[in-house]
Amino acid sequence: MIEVRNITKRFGSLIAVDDLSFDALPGRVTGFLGPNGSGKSTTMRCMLGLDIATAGSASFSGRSYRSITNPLFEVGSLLDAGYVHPGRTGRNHLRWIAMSNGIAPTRVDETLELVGLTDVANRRVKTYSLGMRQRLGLAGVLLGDPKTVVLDEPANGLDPEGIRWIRDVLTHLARGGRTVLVSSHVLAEIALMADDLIVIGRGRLIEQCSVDEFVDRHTTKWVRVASPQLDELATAAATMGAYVTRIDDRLADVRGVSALEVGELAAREGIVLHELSPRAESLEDAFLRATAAAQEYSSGAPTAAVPDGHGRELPPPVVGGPPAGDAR
Amino acid sequence: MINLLQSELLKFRTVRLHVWLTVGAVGLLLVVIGLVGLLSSDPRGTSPADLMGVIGGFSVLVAMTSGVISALGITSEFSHNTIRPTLAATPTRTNVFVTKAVMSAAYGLVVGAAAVATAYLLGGLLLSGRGATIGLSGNDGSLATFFGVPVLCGLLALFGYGVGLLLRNSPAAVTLIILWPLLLESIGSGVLSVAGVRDPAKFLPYTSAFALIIPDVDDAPGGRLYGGFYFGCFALAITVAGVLINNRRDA
Repeated sequence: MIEVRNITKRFGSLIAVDDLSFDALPGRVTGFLGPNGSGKSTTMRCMLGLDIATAGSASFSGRSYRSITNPLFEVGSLLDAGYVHPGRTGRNHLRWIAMSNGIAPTRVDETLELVGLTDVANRRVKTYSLGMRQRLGLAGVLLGDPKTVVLDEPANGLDPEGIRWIRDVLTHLARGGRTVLVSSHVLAEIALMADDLIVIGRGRLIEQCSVDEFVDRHTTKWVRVASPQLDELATAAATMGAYVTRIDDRLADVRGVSALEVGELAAREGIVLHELSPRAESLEDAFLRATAAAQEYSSGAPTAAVPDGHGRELPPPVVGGPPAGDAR
Repeated sequence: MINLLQSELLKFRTVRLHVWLTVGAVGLLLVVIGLVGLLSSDPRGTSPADLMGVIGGFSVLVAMTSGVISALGITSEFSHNTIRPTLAATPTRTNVFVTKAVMSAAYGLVVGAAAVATAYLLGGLLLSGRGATIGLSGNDGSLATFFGVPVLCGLLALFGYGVGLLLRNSPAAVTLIILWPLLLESIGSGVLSVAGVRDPAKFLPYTSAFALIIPDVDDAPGGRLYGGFYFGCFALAITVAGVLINNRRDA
């Protein structure tokens, strides 16, 4: 279990992390989210004692990182795949890490096999792609078969197969009872693998909860219906306080009521339905909404229509969305 | 601690630059000694002290290279950010930095010993073949120089490591290591002389350390032991400062 308590980190007058506290539980993958510059990486470095926290502490199963002898057996961490000497071979990179904690050399070859780098183990790291460096970094994490895993953007540079692989590895580690804390800006990945979320912005905790709770709290839900009697449905729905947005002659979105209520209403009123499906926004939408006030750097959306390269014009993207709320 | 030492040694020797710079410096010393052995105009008149004088003089190159390599060993950890996985694997920073210091000094000592031994062997063989009588003696300073070269290499390696640990920047550290004897101590000597200090060279650590590699100790202020001890304390002080500062800095 990871316990972070009141960590503050200042760089001169800049407060990178501000009185941040959270827990990451064993047996669960905890996603650590925040906009660029929100303090995720700084927090992780403070947790591992690499940056000296101005205040606060972090503990791993009740012990501070610096008090752990041979920490690779307790905590495996990968903060950046670029933390390697380019002139060293992949195998030698893992060998020095293993040696420092008294890990058997055979384990180096095992982890190289695990991450699929056996064939290139004796090549210099400067010849590795970013994806291969990520895999090498993950091999370093797995060397000591640790109880806790801390990863900063592990899916960076990985191809779809690699992303799927890391998701499976992290999920497998968590199901084995380990504590997994992983930061990522690939929200779709976090949505697929994380059980819990810690969301920060401008160094402060915005929310800690399960992924489902977070999505529930920060997204809009609606019901998509297909019917040849949309006018009748809209009239009937209005009596329930719902409102209908027509998409075309056959399709409409109903907000303010649940799919169950729409189905029962249609049955009562004798309205034919060809489709009735609950819809919801994604984790990405929830994240953008939750951190909207904490975005350090945001770009202005294009306002004019842009050509799509085929002589047609694409409309400008829709920024934001309807106000968050439960459609019940 | 043994695990850490083995790990640091592996890290150090698996960077090609360290190996090539070492081979280059020792190779250059051997080339010079080979030329001296082959081209000396009066080989019969060449004494062991003369040979050790040449070896000692040119071994400064090996010693400075040891310092540069030690500096690069630690500064490259910061430039490539490998210091972070290093400290993540061994969170007790003092242990890491002290182990690196011990390894750097040992590296310099071993390289210095290998350089002086091979250079002496080569020079001795070539000059003996041309009629000279070569042998180490405690009376003419040749034996002291033979042992002084590895000590100077070890101390300069420690000095280089300490400078690298303090500056955490390769170009700055290498420049300082090279400019220290060439520029800083010359300026220091001038300033001390103007200030009326007698024997100013005695107060200059780098200059004092050269007593270790001079057979005729009368040429060195303070003598061999003083020079080695003074520079050793200086190198150690810089290293300790580096350790203390890095214990408080972000990695």
